[in-house]
Parts: sequence; C-alpha cells; structure tokens
Amino acid sequence: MSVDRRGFIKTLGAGVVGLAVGAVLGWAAKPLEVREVTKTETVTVPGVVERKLPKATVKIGVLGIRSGLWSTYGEFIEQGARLAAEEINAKGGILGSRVELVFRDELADVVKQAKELVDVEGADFIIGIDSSGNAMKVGGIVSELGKILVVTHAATHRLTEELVYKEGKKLIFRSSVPVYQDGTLAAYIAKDLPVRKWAGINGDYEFGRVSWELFTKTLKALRPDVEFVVDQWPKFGTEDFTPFISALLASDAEALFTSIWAIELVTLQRQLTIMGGYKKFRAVISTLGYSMDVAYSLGTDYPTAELGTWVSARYMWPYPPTKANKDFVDRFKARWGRLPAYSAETTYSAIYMLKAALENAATLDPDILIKTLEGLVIMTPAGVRWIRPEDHQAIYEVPYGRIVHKGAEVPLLEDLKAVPAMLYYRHPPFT
Amino acid sequence: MDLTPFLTQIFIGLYKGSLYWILALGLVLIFGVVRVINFAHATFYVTGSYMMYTFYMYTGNFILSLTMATLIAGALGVAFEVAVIRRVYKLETIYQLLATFAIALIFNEAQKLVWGKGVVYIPIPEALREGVSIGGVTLNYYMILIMVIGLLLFIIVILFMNNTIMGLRIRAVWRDPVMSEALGVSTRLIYTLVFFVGAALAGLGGALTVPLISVGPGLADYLIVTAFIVVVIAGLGSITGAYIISVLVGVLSSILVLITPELDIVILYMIAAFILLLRPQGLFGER
Amino acid sequence: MSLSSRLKGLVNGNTVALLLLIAFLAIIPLTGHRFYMYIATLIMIMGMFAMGYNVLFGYVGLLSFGHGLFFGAGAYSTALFTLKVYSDPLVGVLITVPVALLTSIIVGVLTLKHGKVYFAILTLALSMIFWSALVKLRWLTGGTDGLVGIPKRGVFVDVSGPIVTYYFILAFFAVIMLGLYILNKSRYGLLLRALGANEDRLPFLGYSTFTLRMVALTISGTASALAGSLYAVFYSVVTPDVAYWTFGAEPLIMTLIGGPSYFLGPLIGALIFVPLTTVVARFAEYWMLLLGIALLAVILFFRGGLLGFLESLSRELKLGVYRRWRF
Repeated sequence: MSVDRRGFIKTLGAGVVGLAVGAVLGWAAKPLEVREVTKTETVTVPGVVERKLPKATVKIGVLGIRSGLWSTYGEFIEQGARLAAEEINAKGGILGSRVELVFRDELADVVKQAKELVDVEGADFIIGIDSSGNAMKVGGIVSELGKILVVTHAATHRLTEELVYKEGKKLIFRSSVPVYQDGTLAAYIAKDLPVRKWAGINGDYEFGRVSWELFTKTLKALRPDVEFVVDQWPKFGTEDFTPFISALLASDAEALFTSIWAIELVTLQRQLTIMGGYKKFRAVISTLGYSMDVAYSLGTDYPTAELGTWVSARYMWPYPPTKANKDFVDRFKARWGRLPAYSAETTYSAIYMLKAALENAATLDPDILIKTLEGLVIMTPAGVRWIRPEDHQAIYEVPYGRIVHKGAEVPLLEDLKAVPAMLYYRHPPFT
Repeated sequence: MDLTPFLTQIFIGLYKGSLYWILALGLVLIFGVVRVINFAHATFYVTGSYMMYTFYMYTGNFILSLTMATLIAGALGVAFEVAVIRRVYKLETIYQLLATFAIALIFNEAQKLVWGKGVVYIPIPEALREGVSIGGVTLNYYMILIMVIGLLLFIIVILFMNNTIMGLRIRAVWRDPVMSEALGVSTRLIYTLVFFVGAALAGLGGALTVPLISVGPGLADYLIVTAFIVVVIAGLGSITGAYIISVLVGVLSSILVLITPELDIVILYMIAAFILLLRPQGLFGER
Repeated sequence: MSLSSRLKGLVNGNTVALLLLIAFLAIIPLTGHRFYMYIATLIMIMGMFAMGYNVLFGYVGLLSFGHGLFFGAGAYSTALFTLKVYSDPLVGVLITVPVALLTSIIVGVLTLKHGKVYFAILTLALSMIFWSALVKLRWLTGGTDGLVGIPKRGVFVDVSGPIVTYYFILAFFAVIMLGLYILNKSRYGLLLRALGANEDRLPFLGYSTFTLRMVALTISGTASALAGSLYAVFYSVVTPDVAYWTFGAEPLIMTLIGGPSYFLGPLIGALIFVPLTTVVARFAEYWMLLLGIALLAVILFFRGGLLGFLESLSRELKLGVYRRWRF
C-alpha cells in the first residue's frame, strides 16, 4: 500500500483533532441543548434577522429495501428515520421547519424512485439505500438530482473512494462505516487470536469479495505467519449452506471468517452448529453478526466458539457506553419495542447530521450545505462522527465483541475490542 | 489422497438431492399430468415451512405439525387449481406460466402480512440432534431422515403409479387426456388430485427443512430454480428420471463446491444448457 | 407496385399513431418537468425493448426468457467501449450493432434448432450463464457493483444536459420504430408473421424455418441491445441486474398488457406499465402484491391486451375500425 505519507499524517491529524473536539463537545453536553442556546442568541441580538430555512417543511426521501426477503432492512432504516424526525419535530423542527419523510422501496427501480422523490415529491435530501449496487446507481446520477445523498447502509468502498474522491461527486455522503469494518478491522481482531489457519465463507458478490480481500491482505501484513486455507463463495440468496460448510470443515482451518449477513447468516450459523463447525473452529469472526435481526432470530441459540464468536455491525447498541447512546437505545426501545439495528442508528444519525448542517448554514443550497457538512463533527449515539472532507465518509468507530449468553432474549457482548477509526479506515488517495 | 472430504460432500449431496427431488416430484407430476409449468411451486413449499413453524410453536409436536403442514399446503394447491389453473388450461403455455408466476408474487407478499418480515425456524427433534462424525463433519441424523423420506417417496410413487387403479388412471391421463376422458376417466378430478399431491409434496419439503433452513418470505425462489434445472435435465414428465437427476445434481453440485468453489453454479447451468442442446427433451424424456 | 401506391400502403392507423406518439414525446421536454422527461425516457427505452421482443414473440411466436442477455450485452458493450476504448456516447451506442448481430447469431445457432418450449428454456439458461459471467468477471465488469461513469460527453457528441440526452434517445427511438414499422409492412414481415401463424406450412413454400427465425432473432436482439445501450448512456451506470431473467421478463409483461398481435401493442404496454409501476410503488412494500393481482387480472380477463380489448369493444359497437390496429 503506497500511502502518501504527508497526506496521511495530515488527514490523521485532522481526524484526531476533529474527534477530540467532538468528543469534548459531545461528552460535556447533549448536542440538542447546545443548539437551542445558539438559537436563543440569534433571536435576542437586535438587528440580526432570525435564521430560518426558505421552506416550512424539510422533506427527506428515504430509500430502503421494503419488499422481498431482505425487507427487514428497509424497516430498520424506516425506524431510525421516523424516530429522528419525531424527536426533531417535537422540539420545534430544524430552525422552525418541520421534517417530513417520504419512504420508497429501492427494489422498485431505485433510480426511478430517487428521481421521483426529488422531482415529484420535492425531497430536499435523499438518505438510506441498503444495496451497494443501488447506492452506485443513485450515486451515478446524483448530479442530475442536485440534492445531497446520505447513504446509511450500503457498504461498497467504491461509493466514497471512487464516486466522491476520484470523480468529485460531492453530493454523496455516507454515515455508516463501509467494508473497512468487515475487512480491515476484522483482521485486527484476528491477529490477536492464537490461530494460524483461516477459512472464509463470503457472498459471491462485490461486498463479500472485497471483505475477504481486505481481511486476508490486512491480516497477512499484521501476522505474516497466517495461512488462508480455504475460501467458499455461496451466491446471493443461498438458502442452504450445507455443501459449503462441509467443504470448509474438510480443510485443516482453525478459524472461520464470514461476512454473510441477515437471513443467510442465521441459516449459516445454525447449520455450522449442526454440522460440528463449532467443534472444529476455535474462533469465528462474523462481521455482521451483531445485526439485530440475526441476534433476535438466533437468540439463545447463538453459537459461541472456544476462542469466541467475534461479531460486529455498523453500530452495536451496547457501544459506546455514553449517556447519549444509552438514552438513544431507551428511546428507540420505547418507540419500537426492540433494540436498535445498526442501520436504524446510521439513518437516525444521518438525519441529525443534516440537521446540524442546516442549522449552521440556514439554507437549502446544496453547495453551501456540502461545505458545512465537510469536516462536520457531531455527537451521535454511535459516538463522535467526523465527516472526512476528502471522501465524505463519516469516521467513527465500531468495535468487535465476543458473543455471551446472560439469560437475556438477545445474546450480549463481552471483551469489546475497539481500534481507533483512523487506523483501520482507508485513507485518500486510496491506492 | 484422502477421500474423506469427497465422502462427506457426497453425503451432503445426497441430502440436498433428496430435497430437490421432493420439490421436483411435485413439478413433474403437475407438468406431466396437468401440462402446466408451475412457477408457484415455491409458494407451496414456503407455506409448508410456515405452517410447520406455526403448528410447532403451538403444539410442540413434530409429527402432528408435519402432517398438518403437508395437508394445508395440499389444500392450498387444490384451491389454486380450482380458482385459477382451471381457467387457463385451454390457453397457451405462456399464459399458464404467467398465471402461476402472478400467484407466486401474490402469495410471497401475503405471507409477509401474516408471518412478518423476519426469519423463523424450529429446533431439530431431540432424538435426531446428534449425528455421525466423519473427518470433522457431523452428518446429522436429521439429514439422513430426509434422504430416507426421499427414497420412500420414490418407492411409494412408483408402486402407486404401477399397481393401483388410480395410478393407472393418472398414467392414462398423462398419456392421452382426451382418450381417457372418452373412456370415462374424470380428468378434472385427476387434475385436482395431482395438484393436491404436488402441492402437498412441496409443503412436506418445506416443513421438513424448517429445522435446517430458516424460512423467510419468498425464500424458496432460489431453491425452486435448482428444482427446475433438475426437471429440465431429466426431461419434463419422467418420475424415475427426476429422482436420478435430483440426486446426481445434488451430489455433483456438492462436489463442485469442494473442487471448484469459483464455478459451481455456472457449471451447473452450463451442463443443463449442454444437455438441452444435445437432447432437448431431457435425458429421460420422450419426444 | 408503384412508389406512390407503396407510400399509400404505409399510411394507416399505425403510422398516424406512431407519428403522433413521437411528436408527443418530442414536446415533453417543453413542459420543463424533469420527472415526466424521465418517465418518457424509460417508456422509450422499455418500448424499444418490448417492440424488439415482440418481433420474436408476436410475429414468429417464439417465447424468449433470455432477452435480458441482449439488453445486457448492449448495455455492457457500450459501457466497456466508452470506458476502456473510446470515450464517445454515439460511437458507444453504434458499436452495439455488430455486437448484437454476433450475439444473436450465436444464440440463434444454439437455440433455434429445437421446439418452442426448449427455445424458452435454453434462452433462459444462456441468459443466466451470461449473468453469472457478468458477476464473476469482476476485473472487467466490476461484479455486482457494475460499471460507473459511462460518459455522456464524448469526442463527437455531448449529451450531458438532460434535454440533450432526451433527444438523443428520442432520435434512436424514432429510427428504430420506423425501421420496425417498415419491416412489419415488408414482405419479410409478412413471412415472419406467416411463420408464427403456421410453422408447418412455410417449409412447403420453400422457406427455411431456421433462416426466418434467425432473421427475427437478429432483428429482435439488435433492437433490444440498442435499448440496453441507451439505458447505459442514460443512467451512466450498468449493473448485472439488467441481464437477470426477471428484467428480461419485463418486455413480455408489457407486450401482454398492450396486446401481442398488434404492431404497437408492446409500445402501448410500456406506456401503461412504466407509469403504473411508478404509481403502484408508492404503496410501498406491497407493490409486488398489486403487480401480481394486475397480472392475474390481465391473464384471466383481458388476454388480447389493451388493444385486444379495444378491438372487441369496437366490434361490439360496430365501429369497423378495429382491423387497422393489427399488424
């Protein structure tokens, strides 16, 4: 990896400063209160016009998978978005303007839906998007839409690295951590485990491929003694993993890495257990293993390996142990009756990111909002997010944890291992 | 060379093949007798899965839930035949196909209204939870049960078709519906019966897999594609062919996973296309 | 036949309707409404796709489940050519013609020798192999993320403004529609339809079924590939979804809605299907349920499609104009 050293250090520096500032701000007080103070000030100073948005309603178009086998994910996005909008509106909106949400199914031709949201519904922003292919599609035409797009789930690194950084499509932002979480950070967890031979099972599509590539490359650099003895590539929508699992078990691997997710992961974990995978593999890393649909579905059956079943997501409700996060989890549970899924948090925080930018700029002009969002530091349930100016990627950290059962409905986590986000995120110029 | 991995892949392949077979059998019966390519077959499969889950949650009785799931899927098949398929028998194949496709769309979404969007599963029956361990792979007793059921179904269907009056009637309609009707066989009754059996078989397959495969709305759309490939390779309308090809496809795709993980599914498509080019009526089909 | 009588033969209900439709499409940008322009563009692209599809389905009576292959081949050849060889949208679209001819001939040789049912299954299998290849050849196709940044601005033409893109696509649409219309009216069109009506009789008249089917497949494949190519230019992105069989089934659904035995049937189908799915998708997650119900209703009650329904209606009312809409 030939990283431009000076650029790297500069970015690193900026990031560290940004995160530190944000942390202090965030931990000292709840951001909502800070903003209310600002508002009172502007009103009371004589001669200053009251800061208002040009529209009484800020419309946010929300895209997610709302039909078919993966429609739980559209539901998570909706829950996060609704909670944020309800909270904001209950407290007087954004500079007095109400937040209104319009939901669309990204499986019904995502480009058509995005265009309709902007041109017919009059959406001022577009957020959401579960599938990477769909994120690339909407990202490709974002200049025609002329509105800011905040992706809150799709994990392809190409969205921010290629479309934003290389092609200069500045209207795209992302509030969720991309495939760095699945590929790179997992390698930092794997390097401390006393195992040498790894097996991998990942989806035969870009996300699975890139996760495995990043994982193997990073781990090999961190621990030259490791070996990757077998890799399997079930296609998208595999309902039965038994042949893949027995092929994995036929190898002499000691540990397993997987970026399989959602319904497929539930089946994979159960079949691994049934076929003796947890007798063979001493450690299992499941990069999206603490997605709440999986945690709820498996519940007390969630298997634990000898050296741990290490799981992560793009946000996990037990982390960070801040008051802001705890309050969010409580509010979410009170509203929806379940613990927040990761894409619920990333969507929730995306709306608060937009709120912060709107309150700073007091305009709906995308060009000014882009400038405001670039470098923005904001306290969110997942911790402090810093929006890196070069690639518009929100930088925040999500740890990995070991699955434990404490008699609760969902399994809990122990030994949370966090690595500073600036260490495991890829950096411009992304070579 | 250590052959254990191949043995376990073959075992897994036999189990998967038995599942394909249970689905393919329904497809073959419905195509052979009723001459309808049934895209909605997966719907019956998922219905069986959900019914199994629901009954098991209430009763905790595996056998009872399995029976109910099978019967309800069969009843749904009858309802489907009476309400929709009967009206399109006389039309071109394409309209029948699209009608079943429309039904599949409707049911997939309707199931979501009933069972929600999440996935569900039930535990493997206590007695079958363990298995034989070969080379680090546990070959579960439950998988063996599925193979046995598959084989039993094959024997029963062959015996039924060849040794009973009803079987004779079905074969008659299979060969020549017009002539059979003329000889006093009620084709309408036979059609309905075949739909019942086909749908019930799919339901049985769905119910049997809930302990192994978590079920969600529209899940079997992917499984059904393989069952179609099986039927196409075997030749639409051959029961014995469907059994042999199901097992072969199961074993072959399982071994391909081991030796060429990069290409397994592509090779399956290519073999299907290749066989069709050489023998379009399928390996066991008659022209 | 003299030239003037030939010209007279070309003027009828279909020509008038087609020209009116093209004129109508041409004035849509004047509304300045971007979403209408978008829907109209989709109607043009899917209309081309469906009209091309119907050369095989409605004329010759061959059911293809693999037309996503042609659409995808067009989209990917334009994307790859403009991104890797020569950056110009016009050349990128034109390059699909030889690609489509070659693809059609290969597909034809592999599939046309057998019966109709096997043609359907074989085209499905071939399109799934093609789709798998698009997913697997990541270094070339970008895998499931697809290819991004297909240029609208090139050496010869610059179609980067939304209105210019629109007219660029409209120009191709008009040319293809008129081409298909001339085919329909020509001796060859008649032969193709005769083949569809009775495939056993034509060989007695000295025609090769295989050759005629091959001609139909080539025309159909080329029109579909051009639609795919324009789709790539329009979106600037292609993903393997366009080669998946469910996408390839859309022109079939449109054709059935409009009426497969009418020249303009598929286009009318696109005119209904594209806005309809847009409206239905607003009912969020249950749009597939509604699509299923609508499809079932068409199959059970309106099998001739909309034009078939209108024809029987005008027959009931003894209006006498219905025959004009047929091929």
